[in-house]
Amino acid sequence: MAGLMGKILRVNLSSGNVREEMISKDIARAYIGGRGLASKILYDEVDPKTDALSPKNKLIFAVGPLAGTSAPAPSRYEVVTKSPLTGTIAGANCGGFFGAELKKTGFDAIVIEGKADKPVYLWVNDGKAEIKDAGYLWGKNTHETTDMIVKELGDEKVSVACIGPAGENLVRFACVISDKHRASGRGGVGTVMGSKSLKAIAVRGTKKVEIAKPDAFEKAVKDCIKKLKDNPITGQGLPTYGSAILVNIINQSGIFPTRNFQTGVFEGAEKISGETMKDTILVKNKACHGCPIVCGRVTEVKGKYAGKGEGPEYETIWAFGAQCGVDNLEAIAKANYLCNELGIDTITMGNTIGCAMELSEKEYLPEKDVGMRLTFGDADAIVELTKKTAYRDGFGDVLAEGSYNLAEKYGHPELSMSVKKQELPAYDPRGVQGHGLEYATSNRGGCHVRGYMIAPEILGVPEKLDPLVTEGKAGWTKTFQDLTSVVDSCNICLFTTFALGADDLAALLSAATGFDYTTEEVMKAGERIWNMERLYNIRAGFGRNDDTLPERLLKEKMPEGAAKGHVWERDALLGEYYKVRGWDKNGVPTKDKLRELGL
Amino acid sequence: MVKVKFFATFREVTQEKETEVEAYSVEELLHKLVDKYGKKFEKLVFEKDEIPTELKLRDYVKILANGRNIEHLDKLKTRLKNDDIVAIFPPVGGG
Ligand code: SF4
Repeated sequence: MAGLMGKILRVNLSSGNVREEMISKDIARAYIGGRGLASKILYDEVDPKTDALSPKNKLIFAVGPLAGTSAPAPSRYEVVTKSPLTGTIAGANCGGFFGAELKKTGFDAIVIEGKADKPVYLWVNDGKAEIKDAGYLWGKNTHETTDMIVKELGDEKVSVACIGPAGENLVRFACVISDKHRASGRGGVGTVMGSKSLKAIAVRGTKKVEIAKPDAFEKAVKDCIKKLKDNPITGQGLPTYGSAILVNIINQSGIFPTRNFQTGVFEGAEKISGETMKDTILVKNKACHGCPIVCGRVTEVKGKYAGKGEGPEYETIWAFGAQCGVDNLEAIAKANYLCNELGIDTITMGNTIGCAMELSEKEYLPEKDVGMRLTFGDADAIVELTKKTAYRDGFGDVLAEGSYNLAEKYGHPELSMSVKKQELPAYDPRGVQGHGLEYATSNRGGCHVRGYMIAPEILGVPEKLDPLVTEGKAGWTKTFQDLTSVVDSCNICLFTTFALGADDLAALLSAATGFDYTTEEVMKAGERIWNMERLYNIRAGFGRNDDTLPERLLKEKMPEGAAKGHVWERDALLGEYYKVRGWDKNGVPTKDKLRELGL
Repeated sequence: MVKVKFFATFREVTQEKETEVEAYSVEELLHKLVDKYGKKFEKLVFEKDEIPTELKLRDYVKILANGRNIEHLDKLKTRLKNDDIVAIFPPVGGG
């Protein structure tokens, strides 16, 4: 097979059985790879009602047909499982080098089944796989784990994806960290890994990816790289300032959620902005495998919050910053380093601490339960509570269940800023109506990257849409969601789509796989993947009532800034969205739609 | 007076984070800023069209008047009044 390697590695940790399977051409063409392929495996094999932390759940790592090739930013990987945080399908996507190395082992996907009876790690070396003892790694953080495995295997080129103490302790939003600093962040994919007593996957390979039409591929790659270089966002904006550059524009637009979404303007934004970061803690830029954009940031902090690592990226700056009322960039960076070392999703961690701060300030959460007086703006608290959460130490044990369970425990579930129990990211939907629709309908719960409507509504890409208007947004959201399904299935970086469109992806995919995709077929594949994930969630018990936002965003008017007086307009958006998706009024795909998509 | 805030690469040209200008439209404001900060600033903001009299904003340069992108107001003709805040951004992205 070209593009994909054509093989899946299946590892059963209960029996110790390891075997290979072939991928059929029909599946490869219809689901592309990466997220599409992994979601298809989960959809076919894991009952949607399964307890996410039981051995019956499966954990799937997958890459796409472009991984390991010369296409731009082609080698992200996707981790798919049933989420222990939301109960929906979970898919988390990650940069760095692990994806490229995984592909070179000769496999497009690794399916982890069952549960080991003692800590193990998986070593995949050029087509061979071995389950190895990880007793000596249990309890170690992600940096130590990575170094110890590389040392044991005696090869510097080994790439490691692992969990930290948070995953071991089944913190509900633990992530998988690869290459020490890159996270498959959301939905608790690291929690599922911990529940299987799987500490890490180490990969190393030398196999070449076969390209079906090398000349056409080379041309498509050249065209794409030129577009990325010529585009002011991917050619200049992202390389110069990284994702943190968003802090000021989102704040100036009045949609920078502040103190648990009580307002959309943060008075301390300048102090935690990309501009400030560039002048203070930034050491250098860093790229993921084969990326011409180079948006990654290596930073270092000295003094009280001393540490070194990659990030914080925009979302993390917001989660520990404005969401917690904290304007101390060094403390935010420290919390970020800790999340990477301990294996915690930064968005959910920061958002949950912000929720605890509001509960505490409103006196719903007693001081004695926290062990301290918790208030917005407490920079030490974000660092301390992150540590406690990873080890489920004291109040950390409550935080480790996420904001919804926290707020519910103290009698105010409406103060959890989450959708389907996954914490919302860094844009207040009262001032970006289309983006709110993405939050409400994302297949993995509160999430911004499966239909990033901020691009057209705030950044003006590919068109300039008024963020306060609801009309026409349903169609746009559907298109963005379908396109992102394709992006995550090629596993090219989403940031390339500031400059590239579906036609570029079709050209890259066609030349790599030989399938001769048209733009329409590629978008149809995206729609198929979206609908399949939706079906999974429906069978897990989700429906129209879950496609909504926290009460605050539906009822409390934005108090200040450009979106002053606005709420999120669910009624104007959701019905229209179901219509353009070809779903019935309960949000269930119709028979005709499923037939059209071959589901 | 209108308060003007600069971000990212604009700051490198203006050498300051903000300033105050008397102006009654965005167009007038930008002309005054070009007078103040010179050619480099002009190049960052405007695309030079074939007809040099007609000014066009550079792709992805964003000008917010009180937090609203002027594209969704009256574009360059957007009216300004005392104490309004204008924020100017070069092409930025992230997520
Ligand atoms: S744009 Fe940034 S996140 Fe994406 S692949 Fe490149 S360096 Fe990695």
